[in-house]
Amino acid sequence: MPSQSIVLRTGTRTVASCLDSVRWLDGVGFLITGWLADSGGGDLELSITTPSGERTPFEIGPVRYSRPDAAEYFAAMDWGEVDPTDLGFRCFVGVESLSGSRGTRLEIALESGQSESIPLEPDFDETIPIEEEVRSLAQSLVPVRWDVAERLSQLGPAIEGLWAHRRRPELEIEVRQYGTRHPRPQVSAVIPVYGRYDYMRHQLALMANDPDAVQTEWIYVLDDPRLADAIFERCQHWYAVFGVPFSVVYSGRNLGYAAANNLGIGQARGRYLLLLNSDVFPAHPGWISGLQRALSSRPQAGAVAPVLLYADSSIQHAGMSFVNHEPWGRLWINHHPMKGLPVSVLPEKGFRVQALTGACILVDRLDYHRCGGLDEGYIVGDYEDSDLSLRLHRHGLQCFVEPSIRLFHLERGSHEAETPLWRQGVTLFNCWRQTQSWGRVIEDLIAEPEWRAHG
Amino acid sequence: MGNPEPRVLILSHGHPEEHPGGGEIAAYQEHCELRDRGIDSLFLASSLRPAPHLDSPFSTVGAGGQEVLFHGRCDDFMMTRDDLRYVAQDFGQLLEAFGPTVIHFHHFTNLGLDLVRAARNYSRSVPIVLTLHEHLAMCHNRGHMARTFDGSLCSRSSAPRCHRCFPEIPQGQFLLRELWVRSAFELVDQFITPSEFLRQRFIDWGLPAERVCTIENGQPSVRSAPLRPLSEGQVRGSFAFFGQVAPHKGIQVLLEGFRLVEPHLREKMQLVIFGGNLRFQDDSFQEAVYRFQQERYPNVRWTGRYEVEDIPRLIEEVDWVVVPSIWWENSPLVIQEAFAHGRPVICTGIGGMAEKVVDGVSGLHFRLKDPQDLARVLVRAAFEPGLHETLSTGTRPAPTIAETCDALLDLFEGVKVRGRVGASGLAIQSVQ
Repeated sequence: MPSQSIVLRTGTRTVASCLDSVRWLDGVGFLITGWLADSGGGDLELSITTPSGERTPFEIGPVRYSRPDAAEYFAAMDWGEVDPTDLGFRCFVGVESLSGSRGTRLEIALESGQSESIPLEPDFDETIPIEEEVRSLAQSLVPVRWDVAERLSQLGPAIEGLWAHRRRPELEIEVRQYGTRHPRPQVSAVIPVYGRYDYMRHQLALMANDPDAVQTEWIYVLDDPRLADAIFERCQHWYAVFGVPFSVVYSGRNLGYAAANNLGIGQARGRYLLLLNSDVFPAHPGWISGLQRALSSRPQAGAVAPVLLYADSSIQHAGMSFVNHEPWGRLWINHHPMKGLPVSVLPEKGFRVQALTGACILVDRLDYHRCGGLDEGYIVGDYEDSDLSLRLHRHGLQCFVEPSIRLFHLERGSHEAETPLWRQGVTLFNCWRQTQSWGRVIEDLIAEPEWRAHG
Repeated sequence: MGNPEPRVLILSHGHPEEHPGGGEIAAYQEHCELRDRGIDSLFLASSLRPAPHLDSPFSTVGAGGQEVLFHGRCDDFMMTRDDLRYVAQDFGQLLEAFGPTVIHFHHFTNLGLDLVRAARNYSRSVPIVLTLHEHLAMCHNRGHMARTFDGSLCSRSSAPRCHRCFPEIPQGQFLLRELWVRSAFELVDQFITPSEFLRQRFIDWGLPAERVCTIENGQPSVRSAPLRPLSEGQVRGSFAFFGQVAPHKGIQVLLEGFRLVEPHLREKMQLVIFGGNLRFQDDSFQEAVYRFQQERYPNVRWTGRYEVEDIPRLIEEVDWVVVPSIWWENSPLVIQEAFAHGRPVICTGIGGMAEKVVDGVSGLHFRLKDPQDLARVLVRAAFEPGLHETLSTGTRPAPTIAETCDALLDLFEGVKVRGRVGASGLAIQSVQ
């Protein structure tokens, strides 16, 4: 029996538990993986006690695994027969502690009054990257089960805590400038590049025909180390042929949507920030100044976005609205109204929406920083954009869509393999996190009479 | 007058020595004619062969000549060069060194549309002229504007439609291709098409009408081959097919149509197939053709490949040339060749064929892919008294190379250079 184990025996009943790994998330709690077997007969209570005497009872929760090895061990010890199906568990116990994890104990108590405790010693293999752990936790949320809300309440804080604790080494940033840097740009466009580099050259080719392009500071954030050689080999010639000055910011790693944007925004000097995806392509020139006019002409506007179209010219994005999704435990999800419909269904003039996609959005740089910008607490490119809209809303700023401005968005290109399971789990987590952070605000926002006017 | 003589850079998607296609030949003839007139012209043709010289994309054809090959691969789908180093650097240097006052592109495949951008970078005031030889800008199916899955004709391209023809290529790629083509076309001052049909197609696609004109490809003048003498009881019933034996050329329609002619009439008629390249076609087509050949229809004769120079001799025994293509065709060379010898043409009544052959004036039309209708037309052609003579006098020879060159020089002089681009926007119409 490994060291971190407890065995309690009373009459014919045996309770045994073994902790395979214990991860301490500073100031958040413990993430415990192990197994617990009970030969039957009555309740038991689990708890954690800090050195200051604060006692937190907890339950193992719904995240369970089959552990035939534990059942065999249990039988071999002559403690009885147990069903291996749900023996394994992974659970999170939130404990707010200023003094760290030292001296905390885990206790199992039986209804007979008998109890046993062991020190809860973090032994987690620190060489396993947190990202991997987050993925495996997220994956345990899928396929979505009827009790997803309970699973999220267990694992949501654990994923959030883990993610917040991921190692973020000091980044060494390389910035390469192609062509002359604009001395006083009106707009700084920040474009993370991931997965495909040919999109970048197509964007530059299309911008080359647009007089707005030279008034804009183009900042590409290379967020995919696999593409670095190919991109840096080509940039000089792209500039020579297309003539649009741009810079490439590179940290040597994949940072994810929000962090990559924030890295690029750190280099931006324009009055406005244009957050743009690399797979968004203009359908006509003049769209940047058009967005700028749409934003500056409305004092109450915090952000504006164009209509984004699929390759078949139907609507991909004309603003987002929040929809309560009961199957996911009443989480607020982002809905794209009018998706797939022709642009003719849209009003002619700019209209207010609840939230905007981050694929193409213009925002005042000061407002961006004032509201806190893209939140890096969401995981890899999901919900940061609606979160940004809500942050602006909290500062009294509204979101608008300008339907006369249209770009194409080749959302989810073919290069992406099938969505892995953990990715679906991450979406669930991000959605849970949005609901945790903004549930009340969203309820107030969608209650505004304004939305009824649009039907 | 008053304008100094132009210096013309002619870009071609290939050198006729390497690939003697219609477009390549037209480009090369223009170059030779300009040189003959003492006008400075440089012929730059792309070559898919690897570059023979280290660190240069260029090689020169012939000592002291004015013909240069631009080596290197170009993406067939996007019509772009992945490596723009040679475009930015070496092609830029060529432009500076030669200093053209007119840049005339014939086609843009193999060359890459990047060269159009580089040409515009070279000068905002030197006109860029582009001859569109077919529909490749809007159709990935070899520019045929025919659906890949059933061969039916297509009249309008779009990302979702093109994706149906090529399900393995995502819609987004077709959109990008279209945006890319349009962004390069934005930089072109004047487009030329060899047929009015093709011109209209590109206007429908969004090119402004005033920026597209039609100039027919010129043909070397030839001595007209005499009509074969008819003996007592013979009719003008000798038909011929000239060209590639390929599915889109409608050879099956022709054979089927000929077979449907009643035997007692057919015995007074003959059909000769002058054509090659069958081995380049796919297996099922080859088999179908071999089956036709084995059936040994009376009065059908197969001959192999021929050279352009052989046509005057071959056409002597021919009364009618049949062009049964099952796609649009743009400005078929074979029609020009038939007319040069006063042979009326029987063709499918669509697209570039219908434009060049006026039904009842210089030839006869039959319905697309309709052997029954073709059989009817063949019989009429052979047996209607006086019809051959009437239609023969209705044929109009193609312009000579010199006439086409005159038209081009006039055009070069009058091209309005558009200078700053952007505002007009060659945008995709559905989103305007």
